[in-house]
Amino acid sequence: MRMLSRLPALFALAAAVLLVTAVPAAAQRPLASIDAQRGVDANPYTSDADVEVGGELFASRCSVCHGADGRGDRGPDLTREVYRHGNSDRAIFMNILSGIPNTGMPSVRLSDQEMWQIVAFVRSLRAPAEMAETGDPGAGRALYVRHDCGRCHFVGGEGGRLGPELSTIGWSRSPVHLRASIVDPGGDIEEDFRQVRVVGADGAPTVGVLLNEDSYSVQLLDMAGRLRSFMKSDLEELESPEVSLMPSFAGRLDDTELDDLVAYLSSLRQR
Amino acid sequence: MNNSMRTQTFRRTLCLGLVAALCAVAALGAQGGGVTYEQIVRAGDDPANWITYHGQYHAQRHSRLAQIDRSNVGRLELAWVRQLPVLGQVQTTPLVKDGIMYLTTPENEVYALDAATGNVFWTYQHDLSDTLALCCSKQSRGVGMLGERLYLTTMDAHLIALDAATGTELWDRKIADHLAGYSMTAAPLVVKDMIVTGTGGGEYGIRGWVDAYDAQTGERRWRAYTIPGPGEPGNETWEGDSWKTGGASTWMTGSYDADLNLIYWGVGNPGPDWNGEAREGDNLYSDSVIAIDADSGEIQWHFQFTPHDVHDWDACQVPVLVDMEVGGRTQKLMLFANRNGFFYVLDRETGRFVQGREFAVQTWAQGLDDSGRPIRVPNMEPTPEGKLVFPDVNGASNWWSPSYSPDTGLFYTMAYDGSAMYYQAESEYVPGQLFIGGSHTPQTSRNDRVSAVRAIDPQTARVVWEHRVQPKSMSGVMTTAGGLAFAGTVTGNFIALDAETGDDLWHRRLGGNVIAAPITYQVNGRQQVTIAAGQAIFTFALGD
Repeated sequence: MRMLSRLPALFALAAAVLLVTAVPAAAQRPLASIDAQRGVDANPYTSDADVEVGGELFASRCSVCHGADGRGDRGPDLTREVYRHGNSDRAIFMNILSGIPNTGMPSVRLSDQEMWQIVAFVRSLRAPAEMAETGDPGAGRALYVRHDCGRCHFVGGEGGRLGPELSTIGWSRSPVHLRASIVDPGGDIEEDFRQVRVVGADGAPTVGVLLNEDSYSVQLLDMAGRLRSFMKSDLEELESPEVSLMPSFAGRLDDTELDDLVAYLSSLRQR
Repeated sequence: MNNSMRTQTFRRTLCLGLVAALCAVAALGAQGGGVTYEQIVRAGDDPANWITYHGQYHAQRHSRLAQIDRSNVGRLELAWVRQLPVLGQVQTTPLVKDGIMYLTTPENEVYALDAATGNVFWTYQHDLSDTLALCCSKQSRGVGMLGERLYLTTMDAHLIALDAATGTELWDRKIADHLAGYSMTAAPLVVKDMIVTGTGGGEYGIRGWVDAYDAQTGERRWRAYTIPGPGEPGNETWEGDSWKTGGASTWMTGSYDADLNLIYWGVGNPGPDWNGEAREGDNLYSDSVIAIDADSGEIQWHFQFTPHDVHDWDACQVPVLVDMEVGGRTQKLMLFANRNGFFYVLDRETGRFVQGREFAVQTWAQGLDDSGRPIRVPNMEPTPEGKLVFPDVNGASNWWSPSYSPDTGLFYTMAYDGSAMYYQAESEYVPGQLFIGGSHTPQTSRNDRVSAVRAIDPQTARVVWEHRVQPKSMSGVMTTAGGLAFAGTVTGNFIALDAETGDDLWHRRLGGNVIAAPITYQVNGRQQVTIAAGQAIFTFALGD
């Protein structure tokens, strides 16, 4: 399965860069919204024209994660009736403004009016019922166990550490994205699950997940799940190949099995 | 000795001690007496103090102190830390005068510290508005000092004078409407008997300016608008009424040439940032450096780096002033590492372009023509679908102070190679609302980004060496007569490089982002180096 849920780091980085950027700048939370500071609760922009403008903004800024139709990709399906991080206009507005910590949702810097117009569009997306899952979650769970996915992934308090935790992956990733991740794990490697390989003076290589790096040292989680730190001055080699640590399951699972495994993963919504 | 005698002796000692202490205080007062304009003009002659944001008016951020040098910097040790109880990133450049350090926090607080120990003399906190129109986060980068007064600008657009001895507020002038997007985060520049300041708000459809205020009363002396009004030269570079909401903010501290009587100030991006369709034209004086007559406030010349900018590459970098022999004669020059990826050398008497060259990866221009105007690559404007362009919106450089060392003849800047996807969108001006016409997303993957201290030879405009830092830096650079260049990184490393070669001579992990510029000064005969990192101030000196 491809690296599923480390977009948060990428987006956190994007948000950090954005915040330290344009004008009197620096880190922390954006203060761009006067409406947020004044506690405006109800969407003042709900006309058909607002929905249309919101749709255009959504297409350029949101669809890359949430899909052109809002049904989700690497970001959650927004046609659901219930959102994990709040259903009110203000909650959606604040999620756009500030992003959602520990998820892939970044802070999006737009005017209040534009953010409200996106809220209006998102509201218009909500379908009466979720898209039916075609697979069998129970069979998918059996596949998950049989293929030893838990060696690297953590679910419900058990499992490995090399891959993203999947306990609530059903909330944050669409079935389309989950399926793509299983058959092509290298297609979208997320920043915090980048592979690193170091070789010490003794010639012994250590491979793992790159956790941090500065000019003088590198920190990683090795394949045995141990936290390791190396001084660069002690290393003979240091590389970060852009390939996933996860094997591809293309050809190893048939379509029915893929549907089942995706259905199981989509059902994971609670720790 | 009986108890009575002991008491008498103790009292006598106490009295003598008090007298000595009073004499010391009186001596301090006589020695100190605040800061005069003449002292700021000659600040380079007094490297024991750091009395203006850039160290000196020419903004070289170079100190003649050489107690700490290449041979002994390895013995640099922590002298003290002052934790600041704030949430935001501390980006202040402290001032130091006669052993007293003055600094600001992201909550518009001012601290007076003992520069020898880091202990607090007093604090002041501005009663900041609950509602702020800031693009980003709360910030305050320092104070100005004149006489025995400190000057603070605030995020709700006040200019405040404080008594430097007590922190007592002397006056508080509201100078712009913060709800309309005006905000101030920079340290003001003291020039003669005036306090000179710019404003933020380039993302809120403001009309930018540089102002000068009477240091005694706070009354405004002059205002230089950075967007010409109707009938003024340059107004024709704005389509229709777009000049009224064109941004061109002035959010960083400028530099000053006392001989030429010119104040130099970097001007920010035109607005809306990423949609130029409603503001066709060059959009003067956005993305320019302007030279302002210090007495009249009139703009004497301008040089525009990025005409009709659509990537938010504002020119709020620091104009560094150097006198240098070029073509057989000494010229008064300005060095400018711009956010757009190009390094420029200008004649600071006239604004004439001398030479320029890219110092970071950029994909939007084929080069500069003979006048310094960029030769654009077609179709690099933001689109609704997104357009990938180097540099990213953070820029090849930014407000992070550069440095120039007269010893090496090199200019030092923090540089960044990275790209962003730039998006265009519609934007309607609403007072106090973001007016940006699009957005951006950084693109370059971790393996492709490069962040480095780059040393540039102003004679050739070429990069002589670079010192790469992982993963990134947004710090300023300071050089010293000890042959050192100090800088920091976002992971909290504070580093000292050999200013000749870029070799890494010393570093310490401070555990918080270094998004500030270092200073150096002397206390009790000992050279100290101070840097803000995270939410604290760190000071280093040589160990025994």
